[in-house]
Amino acid sequence: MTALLSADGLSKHFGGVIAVDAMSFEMAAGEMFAIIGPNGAGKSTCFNMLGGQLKPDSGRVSLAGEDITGMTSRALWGRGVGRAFQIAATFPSMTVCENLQVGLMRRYGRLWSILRSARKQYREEAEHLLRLVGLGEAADKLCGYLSYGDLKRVELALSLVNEPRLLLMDEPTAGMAPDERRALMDLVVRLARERECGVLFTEHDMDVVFGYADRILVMQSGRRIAEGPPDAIRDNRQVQAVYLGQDFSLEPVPGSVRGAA
Amino acid sequence: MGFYVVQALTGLASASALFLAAAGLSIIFGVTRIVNFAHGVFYMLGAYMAWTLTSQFGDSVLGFWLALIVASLSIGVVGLLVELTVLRRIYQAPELFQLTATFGVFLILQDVTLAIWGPEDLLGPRAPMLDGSVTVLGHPLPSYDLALIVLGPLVLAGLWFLFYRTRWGALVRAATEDREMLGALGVNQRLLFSTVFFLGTALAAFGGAAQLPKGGADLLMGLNILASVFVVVVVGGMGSIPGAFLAALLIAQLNAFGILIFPQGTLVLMFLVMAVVLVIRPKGLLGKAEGASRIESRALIEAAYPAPGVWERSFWALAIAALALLPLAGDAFALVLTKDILLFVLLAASLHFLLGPGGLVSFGHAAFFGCGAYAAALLVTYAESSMVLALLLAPLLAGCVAIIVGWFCVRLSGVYFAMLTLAFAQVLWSIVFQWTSVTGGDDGLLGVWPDTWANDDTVFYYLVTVLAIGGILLLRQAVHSPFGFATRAGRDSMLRAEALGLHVKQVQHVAMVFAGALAGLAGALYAFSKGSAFPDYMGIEMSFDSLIAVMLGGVQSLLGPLFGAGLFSWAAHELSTLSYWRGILGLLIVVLVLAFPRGLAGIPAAFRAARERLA
Repeated sequence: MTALLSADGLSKHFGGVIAVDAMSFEMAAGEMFAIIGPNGAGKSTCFNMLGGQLKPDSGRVSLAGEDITGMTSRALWGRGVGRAFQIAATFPSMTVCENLQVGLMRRYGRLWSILRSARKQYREEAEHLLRLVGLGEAADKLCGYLSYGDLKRVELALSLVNEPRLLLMDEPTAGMAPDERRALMDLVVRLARERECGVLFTEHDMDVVFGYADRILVMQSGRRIAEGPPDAIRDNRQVQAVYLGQDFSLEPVPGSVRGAA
Repeated sequence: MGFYVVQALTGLASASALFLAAAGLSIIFGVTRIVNFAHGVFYMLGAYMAWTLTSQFGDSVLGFWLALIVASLSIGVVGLLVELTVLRRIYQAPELFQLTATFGVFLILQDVTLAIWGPEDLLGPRAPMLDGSVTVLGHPLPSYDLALIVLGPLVLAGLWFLFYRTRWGALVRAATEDREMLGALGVNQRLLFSTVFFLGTALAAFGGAAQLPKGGADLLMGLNILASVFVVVVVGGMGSIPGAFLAALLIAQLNAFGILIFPQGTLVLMFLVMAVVLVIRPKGLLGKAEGASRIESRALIEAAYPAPGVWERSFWALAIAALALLPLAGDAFALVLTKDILLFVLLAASLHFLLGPGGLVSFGHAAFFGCGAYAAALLVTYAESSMVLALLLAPLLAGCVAIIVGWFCVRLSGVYFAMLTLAFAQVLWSIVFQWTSVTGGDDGLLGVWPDTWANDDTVFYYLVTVLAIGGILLLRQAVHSPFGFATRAGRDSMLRAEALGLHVKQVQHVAMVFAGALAGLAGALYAFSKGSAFPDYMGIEMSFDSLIAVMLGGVQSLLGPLFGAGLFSWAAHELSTLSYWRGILGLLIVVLVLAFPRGLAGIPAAFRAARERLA
């Protein structure tokens, strides 16, 4: 069986700085896969190469067997890749619902009409998606006035417009309160399982990472230093050293962190 | 051989004045991020001031050069005053707003110059000791040209010293790289901006002063140099002084030799070079990529274009009723004026579609208006086409031109987009102006009258009204259409739009063609209304007039272009009998943009806010 997403020897240099160095990994459909690492480890560079914002210097990315290396984010959208950015990107001059409607009109190829009125286009479908991410009440608010946590939800809803098979989420819960984080991640897990959609995410909140990821990849200085299920990562000496320094070791925390906040 | 060497040396000499002006603009842009339209007028003022001073003290070598320097410094002080009174208040304002304000300053100072020195062209004085000529390989070269050739590199070296060997220069470079960071470090930005503006204007004035013995002084030199300076700065790379030097050399040589090969087309040549450079190197020869631009979310939220409410609907009903009843008043002149205003509003509304929903600042939108007018005029003149056919084909032809122009322009963004649109408009203008055998050149094409059925004043008035209002309503509808949403999505967040599968550049291209075609319709109707087509229809001034109209109205409102263009045409008409009407207009613009940063359509909101503050 081919993996949903596989990266093979992905590298990116900025001048003399090696941001990402020969990264390789595979993830399956329906899997929650987290990339973590300290600041500057190369997580976002990695994401931007997978999501079409940066072209890798070398290496190969494939989506369900198809080579998608260096494709634009527009081309990736056409292949069912949804994207949430580290700094939420929405259309601030439009209402939440209109944001979704733009996505839906694009999906159904209805963006070029000049005579039709856009406000009624796919309104119900947009509202349905908004209720799904818990934003049903905010449909008619301008995106520019939303809180950061709500913008992250709009992004999630936007990436669901095209019924993606892969979601790339760069810090999906940044700027949210602990309760909101759990609600959002519960939703993401449910979507991943129900729709057989792979979710690749980064996160600074370790509760979210260890509570929701099926597998975790740890990066440091552009390299992979560990990969495995949460329990294995938590016990990994090298990972502890990266986060806490050589002289500290952690007692394994019993059980899942889900529910702790 | 000798002839070509002398030609090259002459080119080098004109490069110096161009470089001085361009360096000033580039420094100001680098630090303040303001594209200063008033820059050309400082160049002109430098020449006039130097003329006055040299006629008093210019008989000795020392007196002459001191006069040039004192002239430049005094104009630098004028620049400083402008910075303190106008620019200081608008550093945080949207780009378009700054453009309008500085253009207002341009108009004011232009008329101040007219008032002080009068309308006649002034002959430049002879520079003492440099009034003869030297012989180079058997050909004469004015001695003063040699002085100019030395002057350019000398100033470049001086600027290098200033920027790389003084603390002030280090601050200027830091501000050019990252303005926010500099502020966070506790640098006095106000002082820095003021001194930079002083230096920039003094350099422009010095450029004007230095070329005085060669070219004299006239009232058009400000606008003329502005176009060339923009080209130089954009080709060299915004904010790069060595880039400006390189580009000034390139452009000046191009002019020196272009005039031999292609005497009618030097302007076209210059702008074509700019177009080619920008397509190959979108940031200019030595320009660096700008950091990610701050998203001005506040401005974007204001440009939200809610669905029309009761007020707006009633306004439209009233306006249309008034227009329909106007011929009953029996005032023939009112009909002519209303036609002119309506067509200008249609032009402004089509530009607004690009500026507002599209976020595309076009400096050359009148090109499509002119294309429409010339398409109609050429069809009538050479194909004896009927008016109806011409009115159908003209927007299509203007749209076709927009397909070509847009293909180049949408590859760029921000200031570079604006400059390239200006460049193409200038190319088209020069073609029309210089291809005399076909277009009639400056004399224009005459005898473009409506068909007999529409020759009656009232009938033609209704035709114009129906088509113009139809066009304006179509543009408004487009903003609320799926395509309008796509345009706004691309403006709001390119990143998100692309991740949602939108081809943003393609959407922008189509938006340009759509707006261009409607501007073309306005132009064609204008040609039939006036019975003629002239190069002015697509000149820089026409483009700027329409920009100002949109800015006055405010980009964040769909009624903005209506009010703005209406006020502008009315003011132009009322004031045009006065001798200094452009200056008065400039003053009006500056006062309006300072008092109502969101345009006329923002006045109610401004009053509401003021009332809330008082309450």
